[in-house]
Parts: sequence; C-alpha cells; structure tokens
Amino acid sequence: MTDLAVQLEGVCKTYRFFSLNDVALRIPYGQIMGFIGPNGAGKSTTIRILLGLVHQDRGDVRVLGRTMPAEQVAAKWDVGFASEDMRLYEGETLEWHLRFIRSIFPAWDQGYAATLLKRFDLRADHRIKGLSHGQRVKAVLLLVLARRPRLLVLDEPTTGLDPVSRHELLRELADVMHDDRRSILFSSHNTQDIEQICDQITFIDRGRIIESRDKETFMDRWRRIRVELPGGVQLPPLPGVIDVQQTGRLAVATTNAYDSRLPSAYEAAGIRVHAVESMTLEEIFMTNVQHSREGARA
Amino acid sequence: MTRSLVVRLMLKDWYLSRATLAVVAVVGALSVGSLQLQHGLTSLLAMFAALFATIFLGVLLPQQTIVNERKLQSLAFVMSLPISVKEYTTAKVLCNLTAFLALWLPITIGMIGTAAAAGMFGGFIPLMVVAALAPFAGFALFVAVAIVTESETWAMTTMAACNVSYSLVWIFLARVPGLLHDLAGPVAVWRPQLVWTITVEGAVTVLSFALTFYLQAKKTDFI
Repeated sequence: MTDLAVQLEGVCKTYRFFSLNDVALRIPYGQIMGFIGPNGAGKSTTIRILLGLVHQDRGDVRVLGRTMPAEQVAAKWDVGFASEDMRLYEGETLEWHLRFIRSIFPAWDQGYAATLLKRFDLRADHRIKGLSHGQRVKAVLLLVLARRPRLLVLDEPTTGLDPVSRHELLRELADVMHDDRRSILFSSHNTQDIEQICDQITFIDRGRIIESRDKETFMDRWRRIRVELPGGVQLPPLPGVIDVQQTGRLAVATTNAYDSRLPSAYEAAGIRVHAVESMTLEEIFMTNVQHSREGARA
Repeated sequence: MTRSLVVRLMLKDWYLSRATLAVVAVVGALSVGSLQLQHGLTSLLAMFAALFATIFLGVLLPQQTIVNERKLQSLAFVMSLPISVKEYTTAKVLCNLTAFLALWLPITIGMIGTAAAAGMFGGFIPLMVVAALAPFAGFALFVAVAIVTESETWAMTTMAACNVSYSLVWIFLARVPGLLHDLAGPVAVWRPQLVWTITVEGAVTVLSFALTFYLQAKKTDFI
C-alpha cells in the first residue's frame, strides 16, 4: 500500500514533434500539487496519460493504487477531471447534466451539489449555451466536485477567465479544497493561481520535469542576493548559485539552495551584501526554465 | 464492461438526437402511408421520401452523436466518466445502430411490404432492397470513420464518397440488360447483379462495424 495518490515513474511518450521524457510525478494523498509549465510543455499530455486516455510508450503510472491505462475504468470512478477545453452539451440545461452525472455516480452528494450551485451563483434551469465562460467552468467544477472524487485533476481551469471570474473561482476552489482526503493536481501556466492554492509544486518544460518540491521548500530555497563588488573583486562561484547578472559593480546572484551562510561567504570575500530577497513563484519558474534550457544547450 | 454505463451513454445520445429521430419517424410514417394509396406519382414520391429520410438519418445520427461531440469538445466530458475506449466505442456503435434500425427497419419493411401486398410493384422490390441497404451501408461506414479517424474532415469526405457511390450503383444497375423491363413486371426478378450489389452492401456494413472495434482496440491515444 502506497501513500501516493498519483505516481508516475520514468514515463515517456514520443510524438513526431514533441516528446515527454522520463517524467516522474508523485502526489501524496491529501496534497494539492501545482503543475506549472509554459504552453506546449507537456502538462496536458501528462494529465491524459494519468487518466489513461493516452498510453505511455514506457514507464509506470499508478493512480489511486491502480495501474494505468489497464485499470483506468476502476480508477476513474474516484477521479474528477475538468479542463479548460472541456465543454458540456450546449443545448441542454445544467439540471440535465446534474441528473445525468447523478445517475452514474452512487457517491453523488445532492446536498453538496445544491450548496455549490448557490456558492457558484449558477441556475440549474439555464441552458449551457446561455452561460458565460466563467459560469461554464464553474458548472463543470460543480459536476466534478459533487461526485466527491478522491483525486481531482484540473487542467488549466482558469485559462480564458477574466480577472474577476478567475479570482472568484480560485476563492471557491480554495474553500472546497480544504479536504484532507482529497488529492488535487492543478495544472496551469499561471503561477499566481498555483501559489495561491497549492502546497506541492512541479515545473515542467519541453517534456521534462525540471523541479518538484513542496511550496515552502521552493520559497525558502530560492533567493536573490543583491551585492556590490569592490573594485577588482570578482564574484566567487558558490555552490547553489545558478545565475549571476552583473551591471558594473552591482550584481544579482540567484540561488536555488539558499543557506544563511551564503551572504556570509560573499561578505567574507569582501563583497557588500545589500539585500537578500525572496522570489515570487513566477520569478522562480522563469529562472528555473531559463536555467534548465541553458543546461540542455550546454 | 460497465454495462449500465454503456446503456446510460446510449440513452443520452438517443435523447440528444431526439429531434432528428422524430423528423425521420414522421417522414417515414407519411411515406409508408402514402405508398398505401397506390397512386403512381404519390407512390414514387413516397419511395424517394423514404430513401431520403433514411439517408438523412444515416448522416445526421453519427454527425450529432460522434462528430459533434468531438467538434464541440464534449468528448473530454464523456471520457472523464469511468469508461474505457472499448466501452465508449460499444456505446457509440450500439446507440447509432439501434436508433438507425428502429426507424430504418419499419420504413423499409413498411415500403417493401406495402409494395408486395399491393402486388403492383412486385418488379420494383429487388431495387427497393438495394435502395434501402445503400443508406444502411453508408451509415455503417460513416459511423466507423467518425469513430476511428476522430476527424470531421474524414467523416465529411466519407459522406460525400457515399453519396457519389449511390449514383454509381444506379448507373451500374441501369446498364444491366433487362433490368428496366423487370421493374415493370408484377414479380420480383433477382438478377445476379442485384444479388451481388446487395452482398457488397451487406459486407460493407458488417466490415465497417467489425473494423471499428478492431482499430479502436489498437489505439494508444484517445483525445
């Protein structure tokens, strides 16, 4: 028995113009994993492999203890999936969709569905084609959440939403996600969304996982150190410093393994440390992708 | 296989195609009713109306239940349910086949039965069987291509090819010596060319459905 809701090991998938290489992803039960990557990085392919809709060429995929894609039917009873490009039947009402899903899932929670209907400010008698994009996304989420799935997979649910709808949706999601038994994979290229609601973060770029940790470790380990170099002094290469930008005597060193001894080491070399700054998840992501791409070129 | 889920998916698709099914049922009933009047021009129009109704059904049903589901991006919603590709394929084939047969069979039996009972279109019966089976074969091919290729372009190309094939069948049969003479007769004459055409139509139908399951089982990417 594993304590992982999702476990991908050495997963590879090759297409003509894109390949997913040696992807490893682990989501413990009860955790919310943010899956960040630029467009075309491989997020959706990874998610489709995870759901058994795309078969991996190599590697092992286990979802809620089930081997994928062989046991996808058994796994999907407990997996709720919503994606930005998922559409409901335009000519039917939300009520029709609620009845359809309720007829399939024995664990359907009618009370919770009614609560979400109110909370998402939706009307069950409205036809889907009359709903705004934000309302459609909320309708899909309602249908998924009221099934009470043990694993929730959200593939860029906030893409295309206006700032107000996005904020509303994230606020509601943050509320409904406070359930210790539910594991969530939240894919997005918007780091702000991920930073707001996730406790584990994985970066993917060009079909490779470039880093995967819990959010606190990410935020603690990544720092920007602003220094001033006296004349004739070079910035010494220190372990964990992955990027240095220098303009005249001023330099900014970026580290992904921050240690309080790092500024001291600079000061010991005669360098004046002006500031040690925390980085936003977006800055960490950008630097990480850049560093990874430079490493691949080298 | 989750049978109850396959049945639910079939019920859903029937419900979503209810308008098409209703229109074809009404046109089919009117056609069979008109043929019973045994009036020359009315009967001919009834036969054409019945033929067009079944062609219309054979195109619109797969279009609404398979092609549109992918085109309008509802397929991800369906595939997020606890079903496999095999179950999805079974649901789509059975839903289309049962809905098609539920209307095609009564229309076909009604038309041919009326003609046979009246005794005045006896020579027409073999051609009516060929004409009735043509939309069925075209429908089976359209369903297969729509499911397997997942492409609206290919589905439309198949539909166009089927329409051209109908004409080619008529051109082929029109060249059969004595066939036009048989049509005017009171008794059905089953010429080898007619039997051969019916066999090809049957083979296309059976092969289309069989290949759908075979090729779907080979797929490694879905959506």
